[in-house]
Amino acid sequence: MKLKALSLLIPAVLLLAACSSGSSTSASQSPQKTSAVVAEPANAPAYYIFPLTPLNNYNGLNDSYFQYLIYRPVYWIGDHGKVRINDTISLADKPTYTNGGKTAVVKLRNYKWSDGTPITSRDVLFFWNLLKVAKNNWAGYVPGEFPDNVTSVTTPDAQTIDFTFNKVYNPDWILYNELSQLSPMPQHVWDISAAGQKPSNLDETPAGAKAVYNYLIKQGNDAGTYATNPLWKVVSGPWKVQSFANGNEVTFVANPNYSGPIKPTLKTVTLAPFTSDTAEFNVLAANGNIDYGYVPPQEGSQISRINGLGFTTTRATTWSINYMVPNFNNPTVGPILQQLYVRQALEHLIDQNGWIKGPLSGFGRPTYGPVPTFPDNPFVDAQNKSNAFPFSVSQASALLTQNGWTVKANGTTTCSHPGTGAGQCGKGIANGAPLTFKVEYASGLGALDNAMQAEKSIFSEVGITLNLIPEPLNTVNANEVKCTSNQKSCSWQLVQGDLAWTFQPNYYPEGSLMFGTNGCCNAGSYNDARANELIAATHTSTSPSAMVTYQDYLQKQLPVLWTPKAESITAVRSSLTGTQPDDPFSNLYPEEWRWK
Amino acid sequence: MSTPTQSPRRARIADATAAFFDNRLATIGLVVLVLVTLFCFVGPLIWHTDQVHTNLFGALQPPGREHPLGTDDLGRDVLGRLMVGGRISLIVGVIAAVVATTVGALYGSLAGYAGGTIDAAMMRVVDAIISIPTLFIILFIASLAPPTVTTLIVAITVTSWLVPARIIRGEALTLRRLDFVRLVKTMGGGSVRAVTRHVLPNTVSTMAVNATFQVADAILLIATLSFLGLGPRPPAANWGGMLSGGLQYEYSGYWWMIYPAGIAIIVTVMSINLVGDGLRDALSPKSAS
Amino acid sequence: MTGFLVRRALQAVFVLIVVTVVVFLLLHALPEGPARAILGPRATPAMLQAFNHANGFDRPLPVQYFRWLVRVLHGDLGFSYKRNDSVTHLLATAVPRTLLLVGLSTVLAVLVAVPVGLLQGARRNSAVDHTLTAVTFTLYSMPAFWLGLLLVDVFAVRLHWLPPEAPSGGIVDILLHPSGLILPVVTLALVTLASFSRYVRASTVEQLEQDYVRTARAKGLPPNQVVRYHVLRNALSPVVSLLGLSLPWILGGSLVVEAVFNFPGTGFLFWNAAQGQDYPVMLGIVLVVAVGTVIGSLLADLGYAALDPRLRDEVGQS
Repeated sequence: MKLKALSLLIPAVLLLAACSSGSSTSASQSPQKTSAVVAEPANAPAYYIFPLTPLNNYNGLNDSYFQYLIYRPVYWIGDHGKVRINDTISLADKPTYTNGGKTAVVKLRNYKWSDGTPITSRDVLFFWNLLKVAKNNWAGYVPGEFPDNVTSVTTPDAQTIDFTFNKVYNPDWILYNELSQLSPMPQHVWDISAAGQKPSNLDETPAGAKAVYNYLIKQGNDAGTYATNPLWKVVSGPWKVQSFANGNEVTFVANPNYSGPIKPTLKTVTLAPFTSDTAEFNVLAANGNIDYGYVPPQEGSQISRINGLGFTTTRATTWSINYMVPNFNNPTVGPILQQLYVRQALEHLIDQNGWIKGPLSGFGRPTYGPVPTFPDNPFVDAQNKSNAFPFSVSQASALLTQNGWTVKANGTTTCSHPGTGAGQCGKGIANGAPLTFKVEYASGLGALDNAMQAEKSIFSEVGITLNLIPEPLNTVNANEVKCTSNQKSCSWQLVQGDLAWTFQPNYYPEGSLMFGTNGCCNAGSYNDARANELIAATHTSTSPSAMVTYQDYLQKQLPVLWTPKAESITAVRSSLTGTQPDDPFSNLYPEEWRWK
Repeated sequence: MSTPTQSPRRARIADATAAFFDNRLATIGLVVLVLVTLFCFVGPLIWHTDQVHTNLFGALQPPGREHPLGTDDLGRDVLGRLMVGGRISLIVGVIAAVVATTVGALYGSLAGYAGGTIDAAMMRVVDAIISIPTLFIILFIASLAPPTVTTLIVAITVTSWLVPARIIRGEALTLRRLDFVRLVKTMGGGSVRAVTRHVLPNTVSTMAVNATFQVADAILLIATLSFLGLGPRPPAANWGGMLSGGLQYEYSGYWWMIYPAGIAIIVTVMSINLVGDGLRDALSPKSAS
Repeated sequence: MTGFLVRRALQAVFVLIVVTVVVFLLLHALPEGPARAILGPRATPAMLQAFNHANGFDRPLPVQYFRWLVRVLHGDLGFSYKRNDSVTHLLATAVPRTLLLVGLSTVLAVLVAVPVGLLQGARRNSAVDHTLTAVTFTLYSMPAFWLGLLLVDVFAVRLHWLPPEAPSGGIVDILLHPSGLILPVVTLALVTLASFSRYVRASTVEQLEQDYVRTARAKGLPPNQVVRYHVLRNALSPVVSLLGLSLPWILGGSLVVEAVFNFPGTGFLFWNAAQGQDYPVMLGIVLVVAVGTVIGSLLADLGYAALDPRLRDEVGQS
């Protein structure tokens, strides 16, 4: 009696399987011609709809997978895989300059909101007025920059907005870092401070703007109504939100009144969340319900199998650099890390090629300096396209020996000639001080783990001990803070990033935030007067040599240790065209996708 | 009237041992467990491998003469890693089990012996913590503190002392009605003395059985934590980490990255459970009578 | 019986209070406070302070606890910044999914474990018993994530019999496409039944050694009648209380299964929250789970007492 129950289960399972396998294979064999399913990266965070994104809701994916599909920025950066302005879908012509270069003139083109109302300078001004009162809560805010460095904004006519700055700046920097942040908002619908109000010009006073902003933020915090709230039904982009659940389960529906040059062919696009990249890959490998997905780097050897299932796979690099941050103010190792020759030795021990070939399974790119070498871009110069510190254990060893250290391979290298003279270790380094560092990094990333273990092994060949400390990402972020040597928070020594810096939303590849003395994100307290000068020059100088001098200097100064960055492998169904090349900011262009 | 003496206890131990070894499965389990322990602790002394340095050029080699179980994705010998990995799994498991069972037993016997409201209150605290899934508590602790071996032991202990507390408390409740305990009370012996000298020793068999199962559970728990990204740090090896790391290569055919560690876990946990079952059968009251 | 009910209910309330205090203290044991973790490295001190003040994180702990408790009693479990949604709303979508997964797999586990355990207990130390022991022990000793991934590899990727992930969408969508539920439910059920069947076996063995069984046999009643009427009932009553006690453990197992099969239920939500230090979500989940378990074990205890009148007095004493 008891075993019978068990034996009945098996045919029941098979029966169910037979019924369902029919439907699941048919779902993948006859692709839905009017929709596409996009696999989000594992553990995708929740999306936020209101374009003045608060700091705690901001992440790159929010723009590229969500907001930009609905609310277009004035200037779109990212053009067919290149890091440059996309003239086709930008809402305005490239800015021109008057007033001796202090005023940027933005001329809007003839775009319309989805309800037929034209997108005018009033909409941009509306955004601006709200930005001024909201800047402390805005993800893109850098004190001293937008909107602080703008002295006045005027709208001579419905198509034109003039931004007058407090001095002359580098036009590239203005475009990539400041004007790129402009996102027109439908003033004729959103200029209210309570539900049911008739839109008026509340934003013209600071108090009114604050009221409007608070109301809109409150609506933005109610993710449950993203699909139903009439506020979010007036859009400038090719897509509207049809359904929204659980923070990151989204279905977009095409905006029939999209006024841009490329109209969507697909009716709906769905973003599908995944708990892990293994789960996503399982679906891909089973030829399941994904049209635009990715192959996790550790499954790189499975690419041919995925291709065989009807996918096309491509490598995708992001507009970012990866590095290891030294804490120059750490009481124990700070003085050691402050010595340039030490950093040079450490950089010589970073085997970028081995790191990419091994732990990253070949899907990675090296970082040689503060400006990314890949993807293709007009900012990187010749010197930064090659490695100033090629992998060399002997050179690292020589640098240390020449500067007063006794190198003990597979032992502990110590300082044997303390002092500040030539051939001596340097200021603040005691006799017998060992080269022992602890490095923290995000746990749970197999490739990063492996890379760190490989580096630990290489470092030990020169007697440098690297103590590995993987932690949850939020712990790493919480520990990596700017500090002074007497503070408790200064016990961290090195932090290895997985993707240390992505130039988004400040697209211009300058280093004020990471390497400037007062930069928000200069956790290591790098402090170099010349670097500050060169960084400032990239903001204000109109000569292209400013960018060259900046990156050449910083490449060699090693404010951080340059390390490779991982690439992703996109897998798209071969019958879905218009998805390539991959965008360096992971922007999606579903309006260009067509089923063959 | 005779007070409890040693000889009945010695006889009981002899009976229990005989009963244990009569049980074929339990004996097999014990033998396997001993072999596993030797493999992990004596093995590396015989089979020397470098588990610290990486060798990216020799990564992911299939089993061969130089590496009987192949190499992993950083070029380290898998067989050697299996030996060293077992150590951490076993050490953490045993320490956590011993500490948890001891703490739980003390707590439970005090509660059971005290009885009344104190007992009710103490047990409600246990109920409260038990109602939260172990994995949730451990995930939380692991997300706060860096996952060193010590943190792991503490985290596992914090969640494992609850069940022994309940079980021992049940036993203490029964024991407190027994003659010899009442006798201690009437003769003026304090509660602590009664608990430590009379209640606890009679729960030793229960504690032993419970501790055995705790070790097995701890090994599985560490494996799951490694899968969730919160296991012990590299380059320290542990079977769970080897298994979950190796599973990334499931489709690539590098079976030696997966099965050796996985089978090691299964075999060890199984044999511990067989031993525990055997202990429980051998030490249960009916076999004593 | 009513006295027992009241006593148990009061105890349950006390337990819940302890739960909330313990969890609340745990989650606020951080030195820096959650602001830095939530806002990230680009937050200025002004932003951190504003955030802390806006969320009441700078008030003394007892004050925060009572404010939070009051909100909870009004149904407001807080707001999650990481997910940009209210905790209640998040749980409203996640809890039904996990309930479905856990419910189905527990039912399946019990349906298989009870007959298997009974059989093993009745035929103790026979070949059947040993084989089933071997099978259940292997299942018990195998990490759940490995079992799940193996099943996916075989049934979904290589054989294409079943979908590789759990169905998405609301409960209605899931029930309309049940094939995607098979593998996750089977995985969790296999892990659960491995321990259940051992328990049933042990309980059966214990019952079969009881005096009343020996007496019945001596009286000449055929053996299968003995098994059915008496042993079954007495062996099964602990299973009811086992169910109540196992709920936290099964929920832990469901976390792993949810991660493997891409099923965003409560377990997975908790893991995400733990990694992101999303306190409101963690606190909310623990509370909901604890309430569920306490009520569940209360019901189980009542069921246990109902099944075995002899034990009502003893249970009532505990």
